[in-house]
Amino acid sequence: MDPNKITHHQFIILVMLFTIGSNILDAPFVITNVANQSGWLAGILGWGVGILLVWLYSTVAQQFPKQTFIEYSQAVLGKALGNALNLFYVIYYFFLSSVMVGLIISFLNLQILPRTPMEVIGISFLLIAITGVHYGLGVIGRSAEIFFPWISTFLCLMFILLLPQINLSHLTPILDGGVRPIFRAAFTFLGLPFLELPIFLMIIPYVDNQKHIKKCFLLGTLLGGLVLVSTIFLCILVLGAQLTSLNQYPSYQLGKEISIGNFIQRIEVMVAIIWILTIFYKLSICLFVTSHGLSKLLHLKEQRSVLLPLILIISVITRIISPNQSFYDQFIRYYWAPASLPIGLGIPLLLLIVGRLRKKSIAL
Amino acid sequence: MINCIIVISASLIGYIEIPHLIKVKAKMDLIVFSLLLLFGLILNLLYYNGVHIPNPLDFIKFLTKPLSEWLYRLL
Repeated sequence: MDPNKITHHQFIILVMLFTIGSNILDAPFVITNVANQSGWLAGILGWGVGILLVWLYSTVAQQFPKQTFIEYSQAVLGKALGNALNLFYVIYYFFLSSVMVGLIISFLNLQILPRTPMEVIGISFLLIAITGVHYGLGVIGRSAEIFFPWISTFLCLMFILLLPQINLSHLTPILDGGVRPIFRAAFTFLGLPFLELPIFLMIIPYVDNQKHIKKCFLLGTLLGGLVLVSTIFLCILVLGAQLTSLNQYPSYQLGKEISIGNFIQRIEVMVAIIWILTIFYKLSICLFVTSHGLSKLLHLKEQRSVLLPLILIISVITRIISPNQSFYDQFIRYYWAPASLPIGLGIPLLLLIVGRLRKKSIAL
Repeated sequence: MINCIIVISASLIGYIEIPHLIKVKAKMDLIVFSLLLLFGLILNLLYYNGVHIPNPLDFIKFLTKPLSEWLYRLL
């Protein structure tokens, strides 16, 4: 049995966890920083455009069922151009996995484990993720299925327990800065989860039920986007735009605000479990695609031969790419979405158009 | 001290993987594995001995700056 096989239920869960991923931590403050209290409108707009993008990706994937991105981009675009794009694709997800490790390190180091060396947090996190990738996508999918009820319960609990803290006056004045900040914030939000989703072009061929792939992909993104948008909405409603945009981890601050009758309080670590888990799955998927893509690209016999050296490289690249928090913030705010455009829009469109034109000459 | 830890962990990785790769006779895998391991080892040694390594994100920033400025002015 192929260790990488996953069912379509697991696929929905993986898409959802990937979409929530790290963005539940950094999307609220990035968006409210640009669009202030109208950030939730930007969230809904970005979500809508993101769904359209996912429709594009699943159309590309349906053109070539049974083949991964690395294989069909070579077939469609020729060996030289295809391989160049594949290398770009692998490097992009390599950097995304380093960013994930960096994010979990800075979060745990600032909020929960202040005196633990950063390397220890990073390497232990990487080791667990690498173990999952070593056993195959099937194991990642099944464990995601186990943790999914936990994540959804904690999310619902957080949303319900926060209801008493809501202050509707935080929403006014609506659209005081005009519509331009909304478009800007929506574009930034697009880059945070949705333009990263072509990662699933590598995973779709391993899903068992190919007929419903489009529906599953759309449903996963819809649910993940719903969680993100409602988190942004709650951040603005509970904390206000000012406090959200100044806070490094506004959704963690949300957990601290929970107080039911002065009795249920300070349960933010329970809330933190949500994103420790979602970032873990995002990291695992990124690592799987990086190592799997690299082994497909270089025609390696086994995927595991690149896994262990990757720990060594990623653990130091993580430290190099985020020398300080402000550099990282500025990068995701202004450069991540434009840098993701080639992966998220350019390559899928190119594959779709050229694939349609050359459909007859490529025997798939 | 830190150099010791880095070299020991790198050789541990080699010790785990190389016999397996030789057993299954995967030549390309062995080459890629050794190159990646060497790259990781050198990068770690340089970083933890205080050598300044240029940030790859600065390069990405430089490349996407025109696009980013144009897009955010447009929106």
